[in-house]
Amino acid sequence: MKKARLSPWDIAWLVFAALYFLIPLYGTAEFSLETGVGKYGIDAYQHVIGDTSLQQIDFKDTFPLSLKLAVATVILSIVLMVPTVYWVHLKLPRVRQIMDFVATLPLVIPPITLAVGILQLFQAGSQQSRGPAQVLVADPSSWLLSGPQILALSYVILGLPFTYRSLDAGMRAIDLKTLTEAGQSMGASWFTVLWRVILPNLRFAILSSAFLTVTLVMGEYTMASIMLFNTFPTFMFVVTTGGDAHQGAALAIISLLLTWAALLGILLLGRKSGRRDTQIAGAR
Amino acid sequence: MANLELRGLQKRFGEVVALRNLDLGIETGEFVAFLGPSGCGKTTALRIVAGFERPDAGNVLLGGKDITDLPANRRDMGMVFQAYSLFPNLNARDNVAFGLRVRKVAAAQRTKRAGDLLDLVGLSSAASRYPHQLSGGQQQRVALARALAIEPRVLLLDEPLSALDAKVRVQLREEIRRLQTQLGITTLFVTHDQEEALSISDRVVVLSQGQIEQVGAPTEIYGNPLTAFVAQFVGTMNRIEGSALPSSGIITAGGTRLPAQAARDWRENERVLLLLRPEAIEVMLGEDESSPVLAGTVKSQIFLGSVTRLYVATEVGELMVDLGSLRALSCPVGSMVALRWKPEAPRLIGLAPGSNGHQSPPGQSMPGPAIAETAGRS
Repeated sequence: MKKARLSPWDIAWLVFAALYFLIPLYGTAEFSLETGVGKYGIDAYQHVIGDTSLQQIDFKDTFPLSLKLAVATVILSIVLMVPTVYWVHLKLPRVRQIMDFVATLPLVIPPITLAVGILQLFQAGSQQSRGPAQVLVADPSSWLLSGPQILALSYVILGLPFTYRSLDAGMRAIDLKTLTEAGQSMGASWFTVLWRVILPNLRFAILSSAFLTVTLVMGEYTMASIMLFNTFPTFMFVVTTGGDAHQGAALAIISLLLTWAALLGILLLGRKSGRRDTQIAGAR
Repeated sequence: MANLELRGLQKRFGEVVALRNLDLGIETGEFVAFLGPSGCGKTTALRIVAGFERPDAGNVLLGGKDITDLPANRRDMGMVFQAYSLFPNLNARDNVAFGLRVRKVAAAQRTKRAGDLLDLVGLSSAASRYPHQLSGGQQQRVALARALAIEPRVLLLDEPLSALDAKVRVQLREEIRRLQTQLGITTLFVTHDQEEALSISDRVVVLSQGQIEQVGAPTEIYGNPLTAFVAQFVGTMNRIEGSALPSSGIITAGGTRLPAQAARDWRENERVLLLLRPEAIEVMLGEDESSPVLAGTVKSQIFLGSVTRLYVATEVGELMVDLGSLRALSCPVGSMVALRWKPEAPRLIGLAPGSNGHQSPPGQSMPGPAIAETAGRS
């Protein structure tokens, strides 16, 4: 196949698009490294990561917490959504429309509404108030509210649009019914089919949903702040507003680099799984 | 007792009746084809046997044991699907070994068995290739090896050749038959292609509208169709409406007398449909002195390789006549030809007066529903 050649217009447009993203990034990076007029160093980075005396919250506590929340959210989302989407595709295709609708709700409902709603529901539950939903959640609610675990559960809802869309697209791309039946005719149980046949073929869909979820959790401020948890984004906010603006810029760059690292990780994993896709010459 | 028995199977999908009371017994080692047009219920029957569908009524028995409620993964039935069904994440060897892995067969043993089976289907050199690196025919061969790897009690083939090109299709169907004979495995084969069904099966089950029209050996189905549907669906038939004259073994159609020995079994002037294969009609050339049955004009020809099909306009309508391609050279389009056939060649199917329904001749039972088709080429 002939390689497509870029015209000068193509190149000009690409440069324009690149500059649109790169100039603010460069500005932030330069600002984070600035230590005085015409002087540069990594002081802001050292302070923001190492200095625990500045604020009540620090990087060493908030970053691992956000990372843990991200991992927990990814695991919960996958455990909940993979079997659900699989079953809907396979057995309840009519429910797909409802799923499509439900999966868009977290995008439509503002996180602040969601956070207030969750808090009210669980606080009411913990106080043993009336109503079946409150009674139902009465027991676990105090445990849920006692730590940041409630955030992971909330983030599963926030990430639902991304998780659902990725898995839905992944499952549409393979012949789910035939693969499932082929597995069953070989003697495999539902679980074995899901584990050995479906999951390996959804690898990229799961990875991309995981990536989107991680970036969502690493950047989510509203819910964490309203529920009074000190996560990485709330730390960023405190640093930016209450401390040194250079340190705020340094945190933004750290956050960006970590996001890129996650993206790179997913790309590498995807490439590893896609390597066997290379066509062997003369196979056909 | 048959190895696999289907007893009174019924299945509806909403308003659509897919199967009405299907009864069939299949012996051990037998190769049975379900043949019929789309929507006749053949795939539904196969899926019920596989355990992917549950019948609304009726039972499936394997070796005398009722397996109707047994889940698909516990039926020990290997299946090859119409769609390419190899697991994309596994290479050919691992695909074949999948069922053995599920059965917790030791790694060395399953690798050996997968290798043997790939060898059996002629793909030992492709063991490390992934499905997308294999052609359609190769993928279906691997799927066949995978289905055979678990030593299934029944092999189910759901139109496995329909996605392949013509040449590969013929090769693979012969290979399937060779393997089936070699392994002596009970096989159910679903197809809408009559040539496929007739060429490799021990018995053919012709289905229409969820019911069995006829069950028999391929030669029986082709040579002695019991219903108008079977006659029309299997092979090509000329159809001429007429009235029986039993005393002289003749059918009269619009004043033309057509020899049909079978007319002797029918009542005087009973309305019948005469069915005649194109290859049963002879074209008389100059040297032949016997009397012709019909005269006609060649309207068109279709070259089919060793034979050429002539479309001949006669006074009873247009008839298809298959002629050796060399002989067909002497019957160009526009030429006049004389046609004849042996009196025992035509099949007769009854037409009830004032209706389109077909009936069996007096004293002869004919299964299947009344066929709502009017006479064809006349």
